[in-house]
Amino acid sequence: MRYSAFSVLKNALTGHKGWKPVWREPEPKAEYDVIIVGGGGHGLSTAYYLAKEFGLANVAVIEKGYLGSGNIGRNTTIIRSNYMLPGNERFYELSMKLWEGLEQDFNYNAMVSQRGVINLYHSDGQRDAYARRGNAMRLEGVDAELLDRKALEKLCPISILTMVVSPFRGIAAKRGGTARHDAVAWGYARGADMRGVDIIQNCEVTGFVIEAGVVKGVETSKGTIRAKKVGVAAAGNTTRVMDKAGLRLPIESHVLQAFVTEGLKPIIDTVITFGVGHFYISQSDKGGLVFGGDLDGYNSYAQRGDLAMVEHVCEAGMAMVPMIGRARVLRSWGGIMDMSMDRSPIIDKTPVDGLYLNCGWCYGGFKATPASGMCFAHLIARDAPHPVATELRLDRFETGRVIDETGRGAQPTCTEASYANSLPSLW
Amino acid sequence: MRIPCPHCGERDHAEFVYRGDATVVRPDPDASGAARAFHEFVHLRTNPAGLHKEHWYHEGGAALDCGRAQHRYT
Repeated sequence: MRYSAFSVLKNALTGHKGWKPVWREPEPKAEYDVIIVGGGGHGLSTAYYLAKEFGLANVAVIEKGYLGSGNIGRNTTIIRSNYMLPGNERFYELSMKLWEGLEQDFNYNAMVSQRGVINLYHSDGQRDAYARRGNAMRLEGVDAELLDRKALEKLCPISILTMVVSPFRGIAAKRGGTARHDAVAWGYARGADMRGVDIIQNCEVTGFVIEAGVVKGVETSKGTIRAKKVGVAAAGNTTRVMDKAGLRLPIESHVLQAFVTEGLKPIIDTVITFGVGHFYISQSDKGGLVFGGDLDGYNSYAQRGDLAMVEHVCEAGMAMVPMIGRARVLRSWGGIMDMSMDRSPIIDKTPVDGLYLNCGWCYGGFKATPASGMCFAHLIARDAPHPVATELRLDRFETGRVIDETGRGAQPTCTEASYANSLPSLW
Repeated sequence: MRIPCPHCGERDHAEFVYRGDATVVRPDPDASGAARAFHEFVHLRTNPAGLHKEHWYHEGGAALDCGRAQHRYT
């Protein structure tokens, strides 16, 4: 499906009856060069880059539900590159650069909006942590700016913030912002499909075909599909899929909630985070305030959260922006986070030859979508990690080379008060 | 969600601290292969989408570990 001014006009005048599906719904072939398990943002971007950058078009993406039914459709759309440790920094900066050229690259409107991400700080300890992070970012050539009240005033409507959270200072990553999450999945799906990738929906992987330690394909609800290589990008369901290959992983599944209010006139034109209260907020182009907070705090596969966290998030929101108390929450939802034991991702080979793993996205998978696909495609096509993803190893927990941005150790649920005052644990 | 504490009875889960999988056992540090065993103990998870036995520490009450099995899927 291609679009032009002419086709838009013609369909507008003829009742929009001429539009066709943007991607095919093929039956699976008997064999592919590469199978990607998981038709979410990361799986689709992997397939797209495999076809576009690495010349592998005999690829299938296999999705248990419908395309983009997981976290790509359940996040708060924030994109940013503000990581401190080298293992993450280069990776997320590549992602930011890919975001900047994404719409031209896949010729689809993903509504990428570099409106800036501002992290407010409220204590000396938090300021020092942010300054350290900002300096680390600048050393890697990533922009970061420590803001005093005056500078903050220019970027963010602080008159809406409460005095409780003064002294109104923060750190800005001006190239960060938001993107239209569903359109990211659709753009990648369309681009992959146009290049010959088969996107197979409503097809659950029930097992792997492994012969003498080498993966040869997958068993699915639509029969066995053979493949030379298999990549798994299953986010919150990673351990359920990899169980079938006999692998135990450093991953726990947790639910993270998000909320959106009714549409309002424009009041917040950046993304603002409030580390003390564990809260972040932005305003969508439709006018809804999109906000969220922390993990619910215990293992879960339910794509909805519990009321205690609803209360906590709303309290934190009221502490930061009291005026949102007047807005009505339209919807809340939950996504399943694949929490790794250092809260950094894994893009690596597995002990099974030909089986590759992409997981551990924690509460930050959306912003990583382009780089995750690029690096995973590189790994699968070349059998070697992309230069920016060399540290995102599966064995780093055993070797001690963890990438632990917040120094919390192997405790995905260790959140709240102990870190709120010192570390930007939720950006 | 309410959790039964053996000392205080059924209490709101906000009074508890979550400590994860209750079925794992700390390995013997003197045994051979202890490094590997500790890696598995600290880092690797079974993460079932189903029955999950959990430790909930009643910090806001009796300061006891209260075991609880929860079905983790829907």
